[in-house]
Amino acid sequence: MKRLVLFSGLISLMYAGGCILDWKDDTWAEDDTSTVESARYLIVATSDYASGNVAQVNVEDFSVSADLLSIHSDAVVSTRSGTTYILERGGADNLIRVDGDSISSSRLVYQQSIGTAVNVQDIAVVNGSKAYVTQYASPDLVIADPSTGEVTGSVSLDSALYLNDDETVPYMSAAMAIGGNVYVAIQRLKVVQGPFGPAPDVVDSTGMIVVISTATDKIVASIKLSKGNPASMDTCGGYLYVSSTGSWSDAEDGGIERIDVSTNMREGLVISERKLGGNITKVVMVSGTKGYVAVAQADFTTRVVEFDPSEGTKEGTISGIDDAFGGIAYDGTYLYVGDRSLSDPGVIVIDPSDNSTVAGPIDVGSLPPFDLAVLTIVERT
Amino acid sequence: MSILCRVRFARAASAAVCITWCHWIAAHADTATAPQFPDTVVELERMVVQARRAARDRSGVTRLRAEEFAGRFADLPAVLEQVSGVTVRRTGAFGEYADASIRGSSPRQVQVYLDGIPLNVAAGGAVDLSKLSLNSLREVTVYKGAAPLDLMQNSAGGVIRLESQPGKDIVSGIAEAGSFGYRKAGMLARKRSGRMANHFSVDYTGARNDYEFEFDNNTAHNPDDDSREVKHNNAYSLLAATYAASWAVGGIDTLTSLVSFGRERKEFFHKYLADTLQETERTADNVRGYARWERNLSGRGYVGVRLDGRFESRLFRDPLGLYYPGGERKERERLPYTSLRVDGLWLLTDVVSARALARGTYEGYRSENLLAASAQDAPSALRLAGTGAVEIAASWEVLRVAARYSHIHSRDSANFSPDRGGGEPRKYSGHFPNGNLDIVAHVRPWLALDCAVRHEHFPISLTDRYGWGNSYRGNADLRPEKNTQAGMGATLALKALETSFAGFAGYTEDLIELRAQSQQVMMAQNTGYMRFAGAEWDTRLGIGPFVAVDNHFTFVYKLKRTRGQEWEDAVDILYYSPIEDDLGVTVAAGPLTAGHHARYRSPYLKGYSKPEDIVAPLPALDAYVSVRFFNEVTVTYRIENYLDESVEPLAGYTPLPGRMHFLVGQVVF
Repeated sequence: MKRLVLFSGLISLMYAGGCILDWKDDTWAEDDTSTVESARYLIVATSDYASGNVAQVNVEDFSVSADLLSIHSDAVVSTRSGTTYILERGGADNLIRVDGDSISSSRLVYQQSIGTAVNVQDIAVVNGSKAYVTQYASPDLVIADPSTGEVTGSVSLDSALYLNDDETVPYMSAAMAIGGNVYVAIQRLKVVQGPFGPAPDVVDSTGMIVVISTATDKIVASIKLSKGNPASMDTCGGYLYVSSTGSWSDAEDGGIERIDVSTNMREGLVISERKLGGNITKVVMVSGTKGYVAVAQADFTTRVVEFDPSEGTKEGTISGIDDAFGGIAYDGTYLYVGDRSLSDPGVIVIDPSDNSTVAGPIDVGSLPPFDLAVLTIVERT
Repeated sequence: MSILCRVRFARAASAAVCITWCHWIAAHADTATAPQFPDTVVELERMVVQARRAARDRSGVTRLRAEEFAGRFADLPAVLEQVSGVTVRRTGAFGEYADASIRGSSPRQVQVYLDGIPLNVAAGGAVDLSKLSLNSLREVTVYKGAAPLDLMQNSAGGVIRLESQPGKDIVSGIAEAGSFGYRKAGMLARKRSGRMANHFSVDYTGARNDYEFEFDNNTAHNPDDDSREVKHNNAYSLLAATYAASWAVGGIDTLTSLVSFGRERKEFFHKYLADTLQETERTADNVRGYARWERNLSGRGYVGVRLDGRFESRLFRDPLGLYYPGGERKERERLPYTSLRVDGLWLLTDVVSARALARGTYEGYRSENLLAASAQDAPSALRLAGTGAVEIAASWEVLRVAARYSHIHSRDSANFSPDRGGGEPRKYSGHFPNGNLDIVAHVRPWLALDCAVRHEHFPISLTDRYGWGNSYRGNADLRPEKNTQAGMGATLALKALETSFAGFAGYTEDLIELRAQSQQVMMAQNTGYMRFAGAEWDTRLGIGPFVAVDNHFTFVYKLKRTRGQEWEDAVDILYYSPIEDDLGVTVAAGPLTAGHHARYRSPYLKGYSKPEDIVAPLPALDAYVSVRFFNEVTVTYRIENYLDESVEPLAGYTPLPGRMHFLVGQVVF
C-alpha cells in the first residue's frame, strides 16, 4: 500500500513539477504502464581512496547491507531498469554489472575491462545493448554493449574544436542519455606544470557539451558553455543543467548553465559560483524551481546548497552535512547525500520540501560513501 | 669453514669507550709511543668484561657480522628478514621498495644509520632498504628496545645501524650472478699500517627484475581475462664506493673519517599498465661523509667532535605521464643534511659513568618541477634542530643500569604556505623529549635477564607539516607521535645452546596518517592510537661438531582505534604477518657448508579492508651449498624460494619473484 501511494505521488509530481522523471540514475519508460515499482534501493559506492566497496540501503526503512562487493577505490554507480552498473575509473578502467535487487559477487554478471590507462569517467546507458562511456585520458568516447560490457565501437572527439591548444584529449567527464541523444561534457583543460607537478586546469577555454545521436553515433551538435570544467549534469523539464567547477583555485569562476534539449541551444547561466559560495560539483534537479548542488568551501568542507533555477537564486544550505563529496541522488521523494565527514560518515536523507533531515548519517560500512545511485526494481503487471 | 656464530651484543656506553680503548691499545701495542695507563686500564678492563658480558646477553639487540651474511643474502632486506622482531615488507625484487617495522612500529619511525649518518630524511617517509649496498658493510645491528645515546635521535620505532668502518685487515672480492639479470661485483680492502687504518670498498649491484607474475587485468572478479605477464621497465642498478680511515695521533687523539659516493637508478613498472610501454625511472646520486676527532681524557673518559654530511639528489622522470595522473613529469629533489656533534664520557666512579652529547643539525628538502615555466618558486623547506642528551650508567659485577634522556628542539620553515594559494609561509617549532632505561642482570654465568622501557616523540615530517603535492595540504595542528614501550627478556648461553626470549608491549598515541579531506585533498592528521604487543624467540643449537640449527620467531599483535572510537571497536592490523618464523639448518664439514632455510609468514591482508584480501603464503624455502678452496676462495650456489611461491605483497603491487638461483664467488685474503 505504501508503495502504491508512493508511486501515485511520483506520478503527480511528474505532472505538477514539470520535471520528467528522467534522473540520471534510472530511467522511467514514461509510456510504459505495464510495470510497477516493487522495491527501491540506494546503491552506494564507498571508498577511502585506497580500496572500495558497495553498500545497499533499503529506502523504505533505511536498513543497510554493507561491504557487499569489493571494487576499485575510484568507482561511480549508475542504474537502469533494475540493473546496477559500477564504473571503476582511473587505475582500473572496468565496467561491472550486477543484476537484481541485491548486490553480491554471486549476482555479478561481468567485470569487463574497457581499456588501459584511459581513466573512464561516466556511463550513459541508452538501452539493453548500447551504452556510452566517457574517458578522461582518451579522445574516444567508447560505445559498449551493457549486456556483455564489451566495447563495440567509439566516437572520436579528437577534433581541434574539442581540444585546448596542443592537448591530445578533450577531458570528457559526465554523460547523459536523453531522448535519442547522448550528451557528453568535455572540459577542454590544459596541463599546467606547476611547482608541485602537472595538473590539468582551465586555461583560456570553457567547456562544451557534445551531442551525439544514439541511432547513428554521429555528432549532431557542439554546445559551447560559458564556464569551464563541466563535471556534472542532470535533466529536468526538458532542460539539461550543467554544473561547471571552473578552476579549483578560483571559487567564483564556475556556475550552472541550462541547455534546451529540444533545440540543443544553451539558454544561459542559471546561477554562478559566486552566488553559491564556492566551487560547485554534483548537481541534482528536483523540479524546475528547485535544485541542489554540492559546493566546496574554502575551509575544505563541502555543503549542499539549494538553488532556484528559475530565479537564479541561492535558497539555503542544508545543515548537518560536512562533506558532500560522497555523492547526491534524488529518487523523487528524498534527497540522499553521501557525507564523507571524518567524524561520522554516512548517507543523510533529506526531505526536499523543507530540507529537514529524515534519517542519517546512515552507516554504509567500513568505508565512507563515494557515489550514490537509486536502483528501482519494477515488475510487470 | 667454522660453524657460523650468531652472537648478541649491545653497545653499552661504557663498553663503547672501553672497546675503543682496548682496540686502540691492541692496534698500537707494538708502537713505541703507545700510552701506558695500567691502573686505569685494569679498571676499564673490568668494566669491559662486565659490559661485554652484559652486552652479549641482551634480548633487545641483534648484531650480525659480515661473515654471517656475505654471499648468503642478495640484499639488506633479506638479511633483516632473519632478525626476530623485524618485519620486512617488500614490493618486488631487487631495488624495489622495501621497508622494515621493528616490534610493530611504523616503518617511517624506524631510524636507519649508515656509519652514524641517519638515512631518514626530514621530508618524511621510511628508508628504502632495497637501495643500500650490502657488500661494504661490516656489521648490521638492530636495536629493538632502548637505543644507545648517540642513536636516540628519532628512535621511536627502533634503530637499524649499518657499519662499514675499518675493522680487521682484509682484502676481499665478490662476484655474484643470479636470476632475472641479477649481478653483483665488489671489492673491499682494509689495512692497518702503523697508526693508520684504511678501508676502501667499491661495489656494483644490478638486476633486470623481469620476472613473471599473474596479471588479473585489473578485474579481480573476472578470472577469464587473467594472463601471465613479464615485468618490464623494472631494472635497477647501484654503484657505491666508500673510503674510510682512522689515525691515532699523539697517543691520545684519534681521528676517523669516511666519505662515500653512490649512484642508483631504478625503473618503475606499473602493474596497471602491464601492456603499455613504460619509461618511468628515477636516478639518485648521494654523497655522505663524516670526520671525527676524539681525545682520551687521562683514561677516565673521552671527548669527541664529529661533523656529518649527506647530500642526495634525485631525478624522477615520467615522460609519458602515465605512472601518476596529470601529465608528463620531470622532478628533481635535493636533500642536504649536516650535523655537528660534541660528545663525551666520564667515569665518575669505578661503577658509574656519565655521557653527554650536544648536536646541531641542518636538513633541507627542495623539490623542483623541471618542466615548470619558472624555477624560482620551487617549493623548499628546511629544519634546524638542536639536541641535548645525557646518560648515567652504572655497572656492577652482575648488574648494569643505564638511563638516558634526549631532548630535541627543531624549527621548520618553508617558502610556501601550507594552505597553498593564500597565507604567508609558516614556521613551526617543536620539542621532542625522549627517555629510556636499560637494565641487564647477569644472574648466572649462563643466564642474563634484561629489561628496557622507553618513551619517545617522533618529529613531524616536513611533508606532513606543509603538504607537498598538488592534492596535499599542510596541517598546522599536528601533534607528534609518541611511543611508549617496555620489553623484557632472558638470554641463556650454554655450551651448545644459546637461546633468548623477549616480550614487549607498547602504545602509540597521536598516530599521524594521511586522510582524504573534502574535494579529494589529502592531509596528514592525528587519527588515533595504537596498542601493540609481541614476543620474540631466538635459538641457536649446535648439534655435534658439524650441525647448527637457528630459529627466529616473531609475534606482533597490533590494535588501532581512531579518535572517538572505543577500544572495543578497535581494528587489528593485519597488513603484516603477525607471526613469522625463520628456521635454518647449517651443516659444515671441512671446506663444505650447506644450509637450508624456511621462512613462515602467517596470513595477512594484502588489501585494506576485506576478508577476501587475506593472503596465506607458502613458506619461503631457501637452500645453499658452499665450497671453500685454498682457504681463500669460496663458491656458493644458492636457490631461493624454491617452492616458487609468488605472492602479491599488497594490493596494487605485483607479486614477488618466484624461484631464484644465484652463484657467488668470494675471495678473502
